[in-house]
Amino acid sequence: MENEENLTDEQIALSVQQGDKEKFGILVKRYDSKLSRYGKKFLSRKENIEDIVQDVFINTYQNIQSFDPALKFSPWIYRIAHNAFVNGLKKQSFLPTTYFDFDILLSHQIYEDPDEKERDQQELKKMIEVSLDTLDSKYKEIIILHYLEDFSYKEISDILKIPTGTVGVRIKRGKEILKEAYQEIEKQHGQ
Amino acid sequence: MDNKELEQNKTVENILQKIESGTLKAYPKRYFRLRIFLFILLITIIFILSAFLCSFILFNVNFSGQLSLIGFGTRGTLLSLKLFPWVLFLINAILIILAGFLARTFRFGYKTPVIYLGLGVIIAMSLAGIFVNQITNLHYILWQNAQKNKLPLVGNIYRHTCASPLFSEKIYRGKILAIETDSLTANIQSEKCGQTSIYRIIFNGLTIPNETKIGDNIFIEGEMKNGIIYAETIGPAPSLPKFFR
Repeated sequence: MENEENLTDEQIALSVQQGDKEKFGILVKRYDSKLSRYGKKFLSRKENIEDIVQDVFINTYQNIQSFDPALKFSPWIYRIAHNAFVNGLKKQSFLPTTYFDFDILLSHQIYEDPDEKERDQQELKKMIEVSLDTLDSKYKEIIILHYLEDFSYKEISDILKIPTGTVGVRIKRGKEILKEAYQEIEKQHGQ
Repeated sequence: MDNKELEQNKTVENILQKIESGTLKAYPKRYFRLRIFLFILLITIIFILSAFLCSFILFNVNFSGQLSLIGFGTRGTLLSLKLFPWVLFLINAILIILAGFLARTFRFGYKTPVIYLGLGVIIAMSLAGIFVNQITNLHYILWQNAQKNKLPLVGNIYRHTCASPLFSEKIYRGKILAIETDSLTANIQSEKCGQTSIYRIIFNGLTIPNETKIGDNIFIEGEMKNGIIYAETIGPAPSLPKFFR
């Protein structure tokens, strides 16, 4: 058991690819609560999240042979989860079937500063709790992935399949909207 | 063991049971390899088709002389725009968008901003089109086959590549063969595709520009009566395509 705990996700995925199907259970255990938490923040109706997460694992297992163990496993499974949750949103009619974002058109020079993230995390924690649901889904998911699930810009770029610069721009814009929404809520509570 | 842990174990058991019973199976590696192969094949076909269309559009505008009309005043420019094969251009634009969309499935595709990716695809396809035209006589050979009705499917678009759609617009293109006091003799691009005929050009009150010399390529605007062109405007033109007899 101790050995299993020391194995990385990528090593486990490789074992599953090589036929050790039982090991997939470890991946399910490691990601079940993480994906449920992500789903709960992402979706507005919470009742069928467990079913969606189960579908994510089924999808992950079916496609495990397409995973490249030289890359990180977490962005890969979050990509599958992201697609499942977006489909969930579409079923809840919160998203149009297809949409195009103009912020993926141009290149944006963005530098990811870990110190800034740490400072933001303290400040944003309360704001996320209070006003995350006021955000548009494209900002909401990126704020969740960066501040709650702890993914880097590059990893988010792989999960959402958008340029890294666009990730930076959306985080910046998402933070601004979040702050505005939080101040508005605070003002209303103060009155 | 708390509720959360119990639920988690239930999920793990559920999934593992499905795997054990064979109701949940992983797709084999060859399935993904085949998918990638088909995907690359599709992109390659789109690329070849688009490069072909691109080179055909260039061949068409060069063959019919419409592009060189841009230098022949406002009327020439408008005419050039009117004669441009817009339908083929639109089909090509759709293919380029499709190729760009497919390229976004790959890592380099979605990591690159859409505008750069689009520009990259357009440049690559245009270069491939120019390359086909410069290096090969592909379109001319296909065009010749189309004239002999030996080209099924795409023969029609080649047959419509007429050498001089300008004839009906009373604009003629040709090469000066002789200069007299008030007239010229020129080898004029014929109404019949890919051919030329010799015409006399008379200048009604116009003086022939001093710098005009034998061998110059010219555009002439005017009426054609009984094999004589009565010129109203004359201007320089690029040389006739290499295939003209």
